[in-house]
Amino acid sequence: MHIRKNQRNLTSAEKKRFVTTVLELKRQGRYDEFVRQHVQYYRTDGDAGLRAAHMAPSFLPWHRKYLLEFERALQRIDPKVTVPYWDWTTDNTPAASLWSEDFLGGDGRSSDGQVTTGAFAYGAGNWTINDGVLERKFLVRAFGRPTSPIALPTKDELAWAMDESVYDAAPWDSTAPRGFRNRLEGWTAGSDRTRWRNHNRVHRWVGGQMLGATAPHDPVFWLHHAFVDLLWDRWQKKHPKATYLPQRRLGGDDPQRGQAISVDEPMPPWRTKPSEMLSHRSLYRYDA
Amino acid sequence: MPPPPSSRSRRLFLRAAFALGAIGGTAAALLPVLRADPREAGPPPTEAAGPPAEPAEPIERAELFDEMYGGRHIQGTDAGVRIDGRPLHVMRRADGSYLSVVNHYESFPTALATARAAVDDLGGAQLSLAGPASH
Repeated sequence: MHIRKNQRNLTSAEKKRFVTTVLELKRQGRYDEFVRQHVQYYRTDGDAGLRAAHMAPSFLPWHRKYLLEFERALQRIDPKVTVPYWDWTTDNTPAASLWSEDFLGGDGRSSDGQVTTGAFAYGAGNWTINDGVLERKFLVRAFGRPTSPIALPTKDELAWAMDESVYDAAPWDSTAPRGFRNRLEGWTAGSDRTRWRNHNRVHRWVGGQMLGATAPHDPVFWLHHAFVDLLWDRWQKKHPKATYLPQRRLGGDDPQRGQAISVDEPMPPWRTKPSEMLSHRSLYRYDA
Repeated sequence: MPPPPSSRSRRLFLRAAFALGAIGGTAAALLPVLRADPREAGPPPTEAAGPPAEPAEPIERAELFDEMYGGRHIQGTDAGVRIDGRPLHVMRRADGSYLSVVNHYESFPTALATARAAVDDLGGAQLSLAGPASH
């Protein structure tokens, strides 16, 4: 049983251990496999076919499994490493220690967005991005979108998702008018200032690779999603009678049949079902 | 020389290729299968000039555009969206809005807005000539 900690409480030794292990996974070529997997399973709801990872009820269990596989890959290199989480409602400025030289490095420079501090800076020689999407090979960030500034989600904005008592709702996609999943994932309608809520807004705020299909190129991806994973946990505690939905495979006349995954259908690329990911307590715990 | 596909069959072809292949190498692997499908007669989408395009999400005919934005040449064509001649991978949401490979966590009402947002977020970077489908 291992513990996932709030990144703000990590000791310098724990930070170093995490960074060193991520760099080793990258060196082995395994890290980029995780990035490719994320790209491959990003299917939007405007197209036919199964949506396992995003714009779907299985957004939460899919990412729980994905993080678990990533954490296991790290632990094969160093059994003591765990994925920390980033509470972006608290550590919500570029001054947070998360972005310090000894951890994830800071914002991108204004000229080209290149991250030039920390172990993941291109100049440090261990973090080259070569995925065929862009010709640029360096990690990019643009905190708060300087061209049209936005802030990280507030506690109130998060509470709006946490207070929702239903897990998800038809049509089980990015247009679902209610449901915790879509409120937390962040596709619900609103004005330009309020759209891209919670999870989506955090990707938007970091910018660079975090905003695109290859978001896991930025190691903060894992800390962001570990917090999203913890939020699912907290939501379950707050709504003990709520269940994952849909509970049954959608009927033959449902337009989402074959596209949205019910609780006992397998999630590709694994055979894991959402029902196997509803609790993480036998696998790991959070420090809060 | 087979006749060019109608714009509708081309659109369906592109949609099917995209839906089945997502973004990885599977798109290329599935092309022969799709070509053999009698419902999808006609040649695969290729461009007479310019870089090879991956199966792209077509945009609405009324949305075709061609302009300079932020110093970059952005185009919306039957074959999808391009920036400086290079394909920008675009996807659709159920509400009809668009996302691109550069912006996957927000969406835009039109293909033009998607292209402009991508230029804003590219920070001067060029899209890869080959596109993600070749990787």
